[in-house]
Amino acid sequence: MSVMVGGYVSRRILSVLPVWLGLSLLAFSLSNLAPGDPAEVMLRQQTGEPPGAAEVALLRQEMGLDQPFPIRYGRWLADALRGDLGESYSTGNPVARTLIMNLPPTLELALSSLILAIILGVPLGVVGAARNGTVIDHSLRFVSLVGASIPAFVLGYLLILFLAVNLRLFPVSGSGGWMYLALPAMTLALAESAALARLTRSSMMAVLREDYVRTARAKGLRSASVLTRHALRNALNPVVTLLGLRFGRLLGGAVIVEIVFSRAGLGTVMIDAIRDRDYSMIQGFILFIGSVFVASNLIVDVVYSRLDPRVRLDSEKEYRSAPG
Amino acid sequence: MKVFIAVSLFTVAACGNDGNSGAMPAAAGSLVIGAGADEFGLKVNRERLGRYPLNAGICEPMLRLTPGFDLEPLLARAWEYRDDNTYRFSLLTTPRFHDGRPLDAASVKFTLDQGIRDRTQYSFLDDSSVRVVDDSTLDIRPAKPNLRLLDQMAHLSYGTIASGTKARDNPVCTGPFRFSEYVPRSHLSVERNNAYWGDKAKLSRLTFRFIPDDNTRALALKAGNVDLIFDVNRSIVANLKETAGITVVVSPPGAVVLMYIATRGTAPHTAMSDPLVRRAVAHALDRRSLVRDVMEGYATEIATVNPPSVLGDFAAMIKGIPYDPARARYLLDSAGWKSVGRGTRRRGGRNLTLTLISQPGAVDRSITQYVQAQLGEVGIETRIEDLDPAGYASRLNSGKFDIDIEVPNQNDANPAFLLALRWYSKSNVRSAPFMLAGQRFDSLVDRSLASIDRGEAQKAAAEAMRVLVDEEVAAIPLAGISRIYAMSSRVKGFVPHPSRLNQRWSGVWIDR
Repeated sequence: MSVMVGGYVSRRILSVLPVWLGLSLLAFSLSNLAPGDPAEVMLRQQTGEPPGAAEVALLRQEMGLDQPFPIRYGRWLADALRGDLGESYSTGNPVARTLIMNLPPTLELALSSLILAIILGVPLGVVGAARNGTVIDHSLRFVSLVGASIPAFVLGYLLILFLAVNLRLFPVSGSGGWMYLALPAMTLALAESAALARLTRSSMMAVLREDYVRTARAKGLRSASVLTRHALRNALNPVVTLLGLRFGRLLGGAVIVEIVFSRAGLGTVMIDAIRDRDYSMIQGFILFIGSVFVASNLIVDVVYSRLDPRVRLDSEKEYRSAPG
Repeated sequence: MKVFIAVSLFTVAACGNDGNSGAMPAAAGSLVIGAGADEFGLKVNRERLGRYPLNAGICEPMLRLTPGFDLEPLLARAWEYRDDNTYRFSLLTTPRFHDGRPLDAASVKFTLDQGIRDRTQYSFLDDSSVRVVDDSTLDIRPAKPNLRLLDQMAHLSYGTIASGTKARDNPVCTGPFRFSEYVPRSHLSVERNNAYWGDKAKLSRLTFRFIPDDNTRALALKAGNVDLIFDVNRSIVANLKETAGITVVVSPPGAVVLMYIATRGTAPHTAMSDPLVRRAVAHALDRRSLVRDVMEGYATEIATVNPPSVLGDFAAMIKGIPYDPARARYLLDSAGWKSVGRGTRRRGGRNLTLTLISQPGAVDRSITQYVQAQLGEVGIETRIEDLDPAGYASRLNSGKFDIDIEVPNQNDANPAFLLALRWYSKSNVRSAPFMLAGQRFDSLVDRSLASIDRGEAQKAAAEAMRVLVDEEVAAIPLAGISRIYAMSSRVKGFVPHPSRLNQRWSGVWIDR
């Protein structure tokens, strides 16, 4: 069995390589195709006024922007494979170091909101499925619909207003201990938990109609035991998939929450980089976040294959029957 | 968003004697300011930590800008213009740097040389421009003739740092506050310099917390997390004013909402090359209503392209073009742009459509929409394009626009600063060729730049501005901008400077 798992993982890793190369080309192309000259933007930032043509030309040369696209891409890719994503045009700091330094607060926010979302969303989904069609179910569906519909920045302000300004339970903004983390994590978690609750509910509903669940009930098992031991485990497969995708999204998509709460993190780094046409930072960020997405999908696939052996068996059959 | 309560959490701490006696001042305290985004993250700004674009009172230039945009001595005791494009500065001998060393000419040279390396100045200085004569005397000779050097030296980016120190990590200067801590994207803290050579600061500590979002800054003030906030959005001023314990303070105008016109735009952006159309646009805009209704009174009507006080009494020479839509329609008719009912005017099968570019972060969308509506009243269609900084620069530098609205700041005392930068044919700015204001304007700017006497320079700059605004209509000043601050009522002694960069913090304290 372990050989089969190893083979499955190896094939998945190999299939990821072209995706990663495509991602790198896309990252490099997108930021270079956008209008505007980073040298010009940098010089304007320095003085607050438009720079002269000669100064712009000199800086373009210094930044290597006068080189043809393929040469710049080739150099960048070779450096990226060594872990060197270049220097930020606007801050002068190494891109990789900036991303790594800003990863912990974003990771902290993403993980805590994901955990909070699981704590809230999964039980709510289970309760909704178990109480299908009742007032409780309708109420939970309504709450989750509202939760999923409110934009993060609106929810953020509302939480600040009630919990920070009126009740003074938390600070309005900034970074630091858990007190500073609470409101941003709640903001992100509420929307995520709504999505999780809806998915868990529908998945549970499907599982609860299965024969083995009916058999478990017929055997006289307690309802709670049927739900948690038999139904939930099988209903979690799509939820795990969603969690993997959501984690990548949370890492790259916490921008609004980071801005509303003035938190340091990858989101604000990215916003600044886009504003400043900081190509090296934008490319590094896209490659980094894209890699996180690819890696989290890979992990989800592996976890999924552990939860449901049919996945790797199907994959094994496809591999063996492939021509050549 | 109206359920706000405001009480400052920050308490008064220190104690002491009067600042003028040389001992610690009586009323101290720790002030937390909600500033905007952290701009020291940029490579070049990091070298100017605590000086530019946020002045934390750590460093001092040789001269400083008064609230009336006049010059007054600070670290320089005296100066004189010597022949051959050279200024000689004599420094005070009493100021000491935060590390105890006395102020010296070598440190001023060190500071200016750093600006030259970082390309952060507009004074035409090069490696050989600054020469130390003795410990307290230095000569500055720009590489090109520049008699406005004195006015420029008041800019905070010339705030003197001690020679041999690293300004990016720990700026060692002579100011009333000394550097304490900088955490990128979080805060910058300074503490009182108890050995300051002048009137000592009343606050024991000053912290600038970086809160980029306008609403979050206001909420932080209401929650008592900060004591004072910068750049209050007009839409929340009324709410803050209604809140007990919060005071709103407005500065005199220090910047201008300015309409730049593409007098020589790239085709098809050629409509504004016609002086009649430019004048018609100016007549079509009701600036009084803009200030009163759109900007809710937090602005002033203005005829100059920079704060009028920079020009002294000569500012009255510029009259501005009055609101007169009937005249605007007549001028457009005369230029051949005929109206078809209430629709857009046409000439030779072409609509009179103007492209207005701006950056949403720099200019309120309500202003650009107001301009669009007003021009629509006289039959001019306006397409607004909100652009990011790079896209904006690209359009500006290619002349692919008809109207550009910006908010230039005046942070030094040079009356010809903006004129020489944006509309002057000898400017090396890439957008200048698309906005030129003509030979007469150029010769007046030349005269201002070459005047040793400040009054003469102001007069020539005012004449150039009159040509620019009243005759050529190559620029239309829309409103003088006031900076809006909100603060806890316990904050005392805060007098807003029209130039944020020149804001002074020494006289501020927290009332116990």
